[in-house]
Amino acid sequence: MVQAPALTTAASLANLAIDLIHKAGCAYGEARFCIYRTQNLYARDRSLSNLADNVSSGFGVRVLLDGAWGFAASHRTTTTEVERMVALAIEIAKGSRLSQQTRVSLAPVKAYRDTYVTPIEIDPFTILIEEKAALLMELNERLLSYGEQGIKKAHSFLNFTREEKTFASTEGSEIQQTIYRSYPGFGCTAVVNGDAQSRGYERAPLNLGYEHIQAADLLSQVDRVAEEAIEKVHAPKGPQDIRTTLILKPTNLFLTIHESVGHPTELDRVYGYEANFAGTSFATTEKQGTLQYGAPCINFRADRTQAGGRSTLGYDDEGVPAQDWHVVKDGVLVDYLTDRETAHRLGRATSNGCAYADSWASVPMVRIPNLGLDPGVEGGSHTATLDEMIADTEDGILIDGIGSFSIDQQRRNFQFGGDAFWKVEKGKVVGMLKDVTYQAMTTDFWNSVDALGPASEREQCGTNMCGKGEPMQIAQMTHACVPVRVRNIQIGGPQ
Amino acid sequence: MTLANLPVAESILSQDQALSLVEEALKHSEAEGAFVSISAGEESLARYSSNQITQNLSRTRFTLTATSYFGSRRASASTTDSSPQAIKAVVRSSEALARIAPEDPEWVPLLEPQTYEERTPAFDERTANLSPLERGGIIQQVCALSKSVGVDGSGTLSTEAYVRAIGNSQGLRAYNRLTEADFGFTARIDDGSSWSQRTAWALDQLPIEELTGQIIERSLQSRKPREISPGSYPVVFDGAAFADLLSWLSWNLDARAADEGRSFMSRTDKSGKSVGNRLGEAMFSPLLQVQRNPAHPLLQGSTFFGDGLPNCTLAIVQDGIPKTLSYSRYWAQKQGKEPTGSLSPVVMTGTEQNLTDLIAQTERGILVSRAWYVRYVNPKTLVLTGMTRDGTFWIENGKAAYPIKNLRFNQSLPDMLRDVDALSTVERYGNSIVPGVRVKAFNFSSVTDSV
Repeated sequence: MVQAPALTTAASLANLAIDLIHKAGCAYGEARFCIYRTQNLYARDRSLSNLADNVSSGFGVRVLLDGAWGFAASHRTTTTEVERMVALAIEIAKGSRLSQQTRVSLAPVKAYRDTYVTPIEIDPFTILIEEKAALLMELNERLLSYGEQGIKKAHSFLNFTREEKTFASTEGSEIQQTIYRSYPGFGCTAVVNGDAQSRGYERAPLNLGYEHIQAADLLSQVDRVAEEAIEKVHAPKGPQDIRTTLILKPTNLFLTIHESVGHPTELDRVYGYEANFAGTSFATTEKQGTLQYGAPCINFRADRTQAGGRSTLGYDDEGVPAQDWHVVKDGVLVDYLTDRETAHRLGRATSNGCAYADSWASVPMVRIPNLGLDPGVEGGSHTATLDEMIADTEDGILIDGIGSFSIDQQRRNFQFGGDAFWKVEKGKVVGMLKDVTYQAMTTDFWNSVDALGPASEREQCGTNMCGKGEPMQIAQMTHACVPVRVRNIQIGGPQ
Repeated sequence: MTLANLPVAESILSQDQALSLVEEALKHSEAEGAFVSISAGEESLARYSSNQITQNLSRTRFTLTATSYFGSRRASASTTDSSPQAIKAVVRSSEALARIAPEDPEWVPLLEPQTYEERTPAFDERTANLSPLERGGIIQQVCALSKSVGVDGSGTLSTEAYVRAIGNSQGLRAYNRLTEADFGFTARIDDGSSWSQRTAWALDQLPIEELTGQIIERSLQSRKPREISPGSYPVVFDGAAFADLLSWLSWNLDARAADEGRSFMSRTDKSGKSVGNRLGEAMFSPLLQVQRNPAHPLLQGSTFFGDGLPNCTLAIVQDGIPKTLSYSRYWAQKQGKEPTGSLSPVVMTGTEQNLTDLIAQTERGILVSRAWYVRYVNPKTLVLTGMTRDGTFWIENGKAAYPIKNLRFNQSLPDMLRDVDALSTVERYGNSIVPGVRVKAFNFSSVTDSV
């Protein structure tokens, strides 16, 4: 691949930027030099339609001058350009200062001089492209072998990333991090009788090496996925305008957690920073410690330290160490997701380290970290395995995977679909359904959970496609969770 | 210290500079075929909330992507480093990958040199060179106006100057240089909210002061919303709201999906078998006239697509009848059609009426100012869900009578477009030109207290 500048060069340039920021009299400043290498393979039917190996490198400088922010970034990693970007960031901060109502202050952070590398077993960039391509072509070929039964489309993908970040700040930090990411998956579409229905399988996006790909596991799922797509396209449509019991697998629930718990507890949204685009939040700060977000058995925990988590790393993009804390404890909203600016506004002693920038050219902002649902307590009255939940359900719907998803701008009214649906009757799964959606208000939904899976059923599901901010930035995170059963949820809308 | 405010118009790549880099990359190619593209530019964006700037950035970017071909094998690599060594290395990288890529059954030959529309895309010097202090000054005025009436103002002001250049080993060459400016504003007060957004190729074309005033006024009117029952109602959509729905039409006009039975444009016979597509069928209101038209005066956009196909005027819907689908080069070749490339930018024809005229002609219904978090419910039938947001009103006797709480919709987009019965004047929203519309019936399924 393209030869990237050595990290030592990045560190010296970052320190040059910090020196210049100091000399300019800024209260705070930081520089991030990054090299992102991404390797993406995507196969559609029998065509490897995308095989790309891309490198994006550059740096961003952020300054806080008289309590006003300025940020400038460039792909040119030279001394001259560092000088130009620092000067430009300061000019931009002067532009920000014109409308200033309140000076920005930051929660304190210690100075760290450290390195972090994602623990991996196999560097994905050392695996031959031929092996990767062959896996995708075999997955698709085996899916398309169900053509007679209706499978008309197949797709599969492998995504790998290595992010090298050198961070320096006027607080005295100098942190070098190397983050590896891997993500495989596939899917197919059955086209029968004027309908088209898809089914997929993925090994959730995680910060792991090539050991995460597990070709044998992917290949072992092909027959099931193809057969379920065929069953789904022939299945009856889901019920309309009824209320019923839902049993949600982690592969579906993670997105509901993401949208209805992750985003509303981002403190920048709570304070209105996203009012023009992503929206604000119903979970306002006067409700901290009192809002009954969910049933007492519900605990949501943020954790940037969990092995393999998609937002697991050593430090966030403000140099704050990775942490682990409850956002909802025993059903009650107890904390938020912060960066240094919003942590200060809330009166926290420190930030809990949720600042993330998706590129060297992006400004760090509050992003959802790994945010999971704690398993049911062993032996607890609300703890049940997936099989026990099904056996204990008279009438309901079991959902796997994600489909349609939409939620209002303050994160109350949501509607989700899924990738596969099964009717549950008298304690048994009796057949597939299609075109099912469920709709609820956030706190009504989480207060209606009456069963949680045990730790043995916890899965690290997550997403690599969380959009927020202007300009839009894409963040990635894990929502480790267990199956849940939720009572009396609205199903369906006009189709 | 280096001057921070080097004029952007001078710093971005000229046609000679960009095409020289393309030539340099092609010169290094040892493949049977090569395609090179460059995307570069300068972008600035300030965000504000609570009547002050909260984020303010500028960024200089450059990406060169090389795609190499050996027979039907192909692969690409890209770099953000414009040095000669990096350009040579990225070409080598794409070649190394392409040599071991599998044979591609959907391979198509490299494009021969194309004929593009003889026009120069819009490039505005002031937009390209807007200084941070000028940007901050404009936002300062918006914030001051908001603050003076007790409104919490949020939004963005952005400017961008960028170039796109492409070339291949068959002799294809193209270059465009463009500017774009965008203003978005949300006014919030008590339990009321209002929003709008405009895009233009020159900053001076953005009606910032006028729009700020309108949005503040609408936010004041949107306070104390009442709750109405979900159901089917006539709806007047502000153009900004309709733009976010109409875009789903152009994204779902893919010819391959239609021909393969996976789209609302698929045709099936009585036995349920897929038999081509529904082009030529009167599916929508006869008021619907939709084109791809990058030459529209409000757009003056690119003359070519990223793969080298011409971006020229193309009828998409005429008198409510779909006239074309989006054909990739592979699918066009397979079906014996001409490739179209993307159907963007979408330009829909409007009328001389304004939105107030549409409301005045409506006895009872709902005014929707913004459509939010729109997603598929069923991609095959193009049923969508989403929320209203930032100013939803009950219309009675030709007037926006009172604000109402926001609603979730579940709606077939083809049915909605069939039921369009009035249009207003057009505006540019993002990369689309659309009017406001009135729809005879639109399905709302639930209510929210969210403001």
